[in-house]
Parts: sequence; C-alpha cells; structure tokens
Amino acid sequence: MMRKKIKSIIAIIIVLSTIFALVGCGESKKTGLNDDTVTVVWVMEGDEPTSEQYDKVWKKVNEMLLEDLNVQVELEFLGYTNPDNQKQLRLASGTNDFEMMKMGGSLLAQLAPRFAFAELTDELLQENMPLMMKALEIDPTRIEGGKVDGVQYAIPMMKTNISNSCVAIRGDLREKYGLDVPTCKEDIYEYIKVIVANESGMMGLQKSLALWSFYYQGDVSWGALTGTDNYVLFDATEECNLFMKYTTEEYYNYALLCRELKEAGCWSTDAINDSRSAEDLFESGLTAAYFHNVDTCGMRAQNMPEEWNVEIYRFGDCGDVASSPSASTMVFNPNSEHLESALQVLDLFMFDEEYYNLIQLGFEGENWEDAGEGYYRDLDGNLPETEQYKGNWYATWNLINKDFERRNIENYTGVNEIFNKAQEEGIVHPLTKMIFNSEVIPTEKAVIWSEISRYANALEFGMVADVDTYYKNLINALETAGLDKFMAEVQKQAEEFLKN
Amino acid sequence: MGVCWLKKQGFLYDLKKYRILLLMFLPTLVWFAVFEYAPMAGIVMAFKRYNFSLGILESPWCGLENFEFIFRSGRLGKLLWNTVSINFLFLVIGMFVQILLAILFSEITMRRFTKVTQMFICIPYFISWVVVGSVVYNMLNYNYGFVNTVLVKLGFERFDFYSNVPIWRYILIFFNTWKGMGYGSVVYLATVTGMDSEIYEAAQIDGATIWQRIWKITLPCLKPTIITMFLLSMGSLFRGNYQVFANIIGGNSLVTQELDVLDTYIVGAMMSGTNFGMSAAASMFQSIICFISVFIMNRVAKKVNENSALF
Repeated sequence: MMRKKIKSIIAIIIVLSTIFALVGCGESKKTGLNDDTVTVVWVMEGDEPTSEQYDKVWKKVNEMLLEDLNVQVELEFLGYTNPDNQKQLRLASGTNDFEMMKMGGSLLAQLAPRFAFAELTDELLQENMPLMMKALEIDPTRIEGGKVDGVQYAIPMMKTNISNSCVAIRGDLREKYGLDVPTCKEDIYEYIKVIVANESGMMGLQKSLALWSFYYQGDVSWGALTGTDNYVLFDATEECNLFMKYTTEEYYNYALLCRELKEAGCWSTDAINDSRSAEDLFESGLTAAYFHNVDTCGMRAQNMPEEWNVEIYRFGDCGDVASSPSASTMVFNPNSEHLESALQVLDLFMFDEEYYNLIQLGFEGENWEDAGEGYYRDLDGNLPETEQYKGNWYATWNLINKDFERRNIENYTGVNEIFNKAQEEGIVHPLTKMIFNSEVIPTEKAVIWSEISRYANALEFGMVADVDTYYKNLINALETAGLDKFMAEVQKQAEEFLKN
Repeated sequence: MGVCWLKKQGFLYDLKKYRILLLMFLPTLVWFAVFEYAPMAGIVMAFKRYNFSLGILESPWCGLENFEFIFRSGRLGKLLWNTVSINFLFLVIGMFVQILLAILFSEITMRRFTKVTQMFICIPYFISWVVVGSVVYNMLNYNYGFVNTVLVKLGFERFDFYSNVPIWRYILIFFNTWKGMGYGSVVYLATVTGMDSEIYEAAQIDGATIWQRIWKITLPCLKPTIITMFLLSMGSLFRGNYQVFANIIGGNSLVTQELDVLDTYIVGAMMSGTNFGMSAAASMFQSIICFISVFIMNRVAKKVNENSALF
C-alpha cells in the first residue's frame, strides 16, 4: 500500500515538473514606468559594458527621453556568439518583445526580401523622424543604404566610411634586424620573413581576411557589393564593372603569396584550426605584424608597451573605396506595437547632437572635451576600465552621423594622418549604396558559397602545394555551381540600380 | 475495488487500472509530442519560400526548388559515399570495441577494479565534442602539440597532421570510438550480466576454456542485442555526426574537401544562406534516405532471423 502511494506521489511530481517546465516557455511581458510610458527595446550586438559610468549615461538618456517623448529605452545585448543566427530566429519567432535591432548589410540583404522587417514608408519617416528628414533635404541619398529592391527597410549609418587597410609592425624588431623603414608592401612581407627566421617562438601573423584587403587595397580601387559577403567586387574607377573576387588575377597572385609566406613559416601550418585572435597574439608579442583598418591598428598599438615602438603603414597610390553605409543599420520589428516611438527615439539618437554625444562619448567635461575641428579629447582614458565611459562602440556603430562624428585627437601616432589622407583620396561610388538581392537566385548562391568555403581557405592559408591546379579546381567548381548565371544577375541588378 | 463499476475488459478499465504507470509515462509522451512529433509539421517549409511576415503556413509554395541545391554541386555521390562509409566504420568499429569491452568487464573477477575502470572509460562520453576538438588540436598541433613534441624528443621529424588529408579518416574513427566505447558497452554488459550463470557453470564443468565460453555462449546470446543495436544505428547511417566533423576537422577545408559528409556540406551551404526552406529540404532529404536504409536493413534482419527485426 505504502509502495503504491510513493509511486503515485513520484508520478504526480514528475507530471507537475514537466508541466511547469513547459509553462516556462512563455513570453515575458514588458512593463513601463506608468501606463502611458512606452518601452522601446533595442537589440544590439556585443556584451553589456559593466562600467558604472555606462549605466549613468543610459540613465541620463532615459531621463531625457522620458521628458521629450515619454519613452524609455531598454538595451538588450546578444553577445558575440552567432548574433546573426540569434537575430534571424528572433525575427522568425514573430514576437513583439523588441522594437529595433542593429543589422549588418549581409543579413539585411538576405532577410529584407523575405519581409522580415517593418517597411519604413515615407509617411512614417516624415511623421516620426523630422530631424532626419531635415538632414536629407541636403543629401537625400544618405538613406539609400537602407533600401532593398527600392523599399526602405532600414536606417543606415549616416556616413560613407572610407576603408583603409593598414599594417602595424614592431618598430623595435625592425631596427634590431637593421631593416629600413618600409616603403611598399613587399618590404612588409620581407620584414615578417626576417622576424620569423630570427625570433624564436614568434609567428609572422595570425592569418585572417585582413591580409587580402591589405594585399589589394592601394594597388586597385575596388569596392565590395553589399549582400555578397565581399565576394563580388566592383571597380570604382569604372561605371559598372562587377566581378567575383576569386576569378581575378590579383586573387591568384595572392594565393601564391600566401603559399610563399606559409612556406617561410609566417604562420603555423595548422593555423586554419587555430582560433586565437590576431589582436591578442599581436598584443602579447607572439606575432610580428597585425593587419586591419587604421583605427583598429591604432587602438591595438596604444595597448602595447611603448618600447615596442609600433609603426602603422598604409601603401599604394590608388584611392580606397568607401565601404557601404549598409554595413551597419537599424531595422524595426514588423510586429512591434511601438514602431513610431522607436523611430522617434532613433531620430534623436542619430540627429540630435546632445543625445548623439552623450551616447557616443559620455558626459562632456567628465568623459570627454571638445578639441575643435571634429576632434575630442578623452578625459577618462587613464582611469580603470570600470570607471570609464566605454560606450559599446560596436553596438552603437550604426548610429554614426558624419555631421556630429568626432575623432580622438590623441589617437596613436600617425593614425589620424593616415585616416585623413584616406578620406581625402577616397572614392565614393554609387554602387557603394546598393544592396544585392540574392533571393532571386538562392540555389546558385548557396552552391557558390559552399564551393568557396571548400576551396578558398586552403588556398589562403597556403596549405596547397600545387596552387595552380587547386585554383583551377576552384574556378571549375564555381562555374559548375552557376557562376555565370549568378554574375549575370548581379550585373542586371547593378545596372537597374544605377539607372534609378 | 474502485474500478469494479467498469467493465473488466476495455480501454477505460485499463486506463484506470494502470493509471500510475500511465502517469509516469506521460512526461515522455509529452516530450515526444512537443519536441519530436509537433516539429515534424515544419517539414512543409521544404516546399515553401519562407516569408517572415506570412509565417510557415501562409508562405507561398515553391515546389521542389529548395531541393535543387543539394543536386546542383555535382558532389552528391561523393557526399553520400563519405557519409555512409565513415558512418559504417564508426558503427562497426565502435560496436566491435564496445562488445569487446563488455565481454572483458564480464570476465574480470575483481569487482572493484571493474567498477573503477568502467567509470573511467565512460567519462569521455560526457565530455562535449567542443572540448574533444580542442584536445585533438592541442595533441596534433604542428609546433606545440603533444604528439609532435614527443616525436621531436625522440629524434623524429614533426608530422604535419593538418595538411595530411588521408590520415583524418582514421583520426575521426579513433576519437569517435574512444568517446563512445565506455557508454556504448553498458547495453552489452547488461545483456551479458543478465545471462543465466548456470550455463557458464555447466560449460566450466564440461571443461570449456574462457575463449570457448565467449565464442559459444556469450556471443550467441548477445546476437539479438547486437542486431537490434545495429538496426537502430542504421537510422543514422546517412546522417553524419556533425559534431565530430565540425569540432575535430573545424574549418580545415583541405580535409573537408575529401571528408565532407552530407551534414557538413549542408551546414556549410546554409550558414551563409540563412534559407530555412533549403535547410528543411536538406533535412527531409536525409530523413527519407535514413528511413529507406532502416527499412531495407529491417527486411534483411527479418530474412536472417524473424525475431531480430524491429517491425
């Protein structure tokens, strides 16, 4: 009898715990400050900063919003682990628990044709983003980067960013081995080889895509077409000349260079399986060079010991091409009940200087001060990280507005000069603002992308002894996958875009 | 007593009589219904061009368009061959080692030693493949890996595992077998332990050696279990263990060129495409092949021994 009772009790406990577990899968409910206050949830990438100053800044932003719009903003951080997958699932779930989301160009291009975002009609923008509409009176093309197939789905960053691929090297090591100040890319490759041959335990570089950018930028003026993961490029000196990067002579020569560097021991033979970051390895003195854009190179150099005397270089005579403003945009949840409020909030964040400075730089006089001519001086840079205002620059990158943007006047030696020169010489091509819609030919895209992932890595890590044959195999595989059809569609869409 | 008002034979009577057992079974039923059967309806996405605003049911139909990419690359033959051949080796070698272990454990008379060994041998099963992948990398790394360090100390040349494609088939089999052998042997050990000890005692009295006992008694008694386990595993013959490939081979495209299986190919293609319809189509394609393979193997088992078939 007793045993029977125990059995019954266990059965009931199991059933109840299962029910409670399933009930837990429900939707959370948002609460505002009072009945009228609207809460706008902003989904962003990266980790939530832990500094007190960060909380203080956002508290102030919310106080201002409450007064101006009777709105509160709640920030939700997705972290850095597969944010794109998280975003897609969130959108596919059809929930209304967020209003706006930071979105990169590639994902925007894939999801917009499948109606994943709220359509931003002229009427909506006129009513809710008056400050932006005023700015667009001067240059109406500034929001082009948020259009897919002519429909406005996103608000892009308000800046044409001239990409500038640079290299940071160790000045102390260069001098130690009697190498002259580098004047061309070949000098850099030579420097890397010398360091690897003489410095025990040191690698040349941690292999990444950045080496490819450094390799071609400055020698040619190529831009990347949004929606193609930088695989389709265009020549910015011509009107409409698009091509697949892998079919170019430059890529073939790059593959040969990679093999040469790998043979010289510039990176580990199993670097392809090495997940350590290039930044960490360079900062900890394990690699001789680091390739990235000038600002990131400068940021890294600032963290390194002064005696290493890090030097930053950019080579080549051809102007760099503006990267797409669609690289970072804001999209809106089509199921949100507070779309209007979200647009109003974004209008203030991007086009109201007070909000803009507060979010990007923190409190004026406390965290930064005006240094004139588009520069600021960092006031809390020497404080411990927990006491600084570390605006999560990556999360708020899509808010960048060139009208208010300021650069740090105390950037690492040479960084601002290289940056300014690149901006002056840079080329802004109309195709920069185009977003390719690959949904028209999804099969070709899926197969081509798959073939690229199969072949390109081995070539770029220099793992293939017979580069010629392997490269030919890549080209054959791409042709079998339907490269001609794919490129014809790219060309067609580009011509239509330019015509309109 | 309380069920006397119901007919002594019938559904409601049985429901009332076995209510406690049925209640205990309920969570399993709910689990399968919610997480296994209900999502099956999602397979309809394989035939639709998914539209976020319309949802699964309202999205427009697109026929077999989503299946096209599987056939387009011209790799399907090789992918299927790799998937089947590697999985078959995983299965056969894995089962062989598991059965061997179970027999060894059953023959060892030192109980404490058996239990401790069994516990240690089961540990790898509970280690995540991500961790195993990082262990493999640290073992096989060219510059700092354990294997190469030992080779250099012994006066040999370093061995470049990551550029040596053929060796990876064996590395995968080795780690897959190592990880699953302890846990997998439990089923066989349970069968061996449940065998009638009198048979062994009688054989011992008749003078049977340890090998004769294993060959003539243990293995024949294990035969039905082996067939059942084999049939159950056949269901995943066409479904590559993605975790093994992704974590051990990683992004090494030189190796994946040769050892690509259906799962890695599909994930590779879908990671950049984010196309739910194509993912559903690929999954359905695999499920159909798996179903056919189980069906055929069940027929074969039925022919050999009617009692060994699953259905």
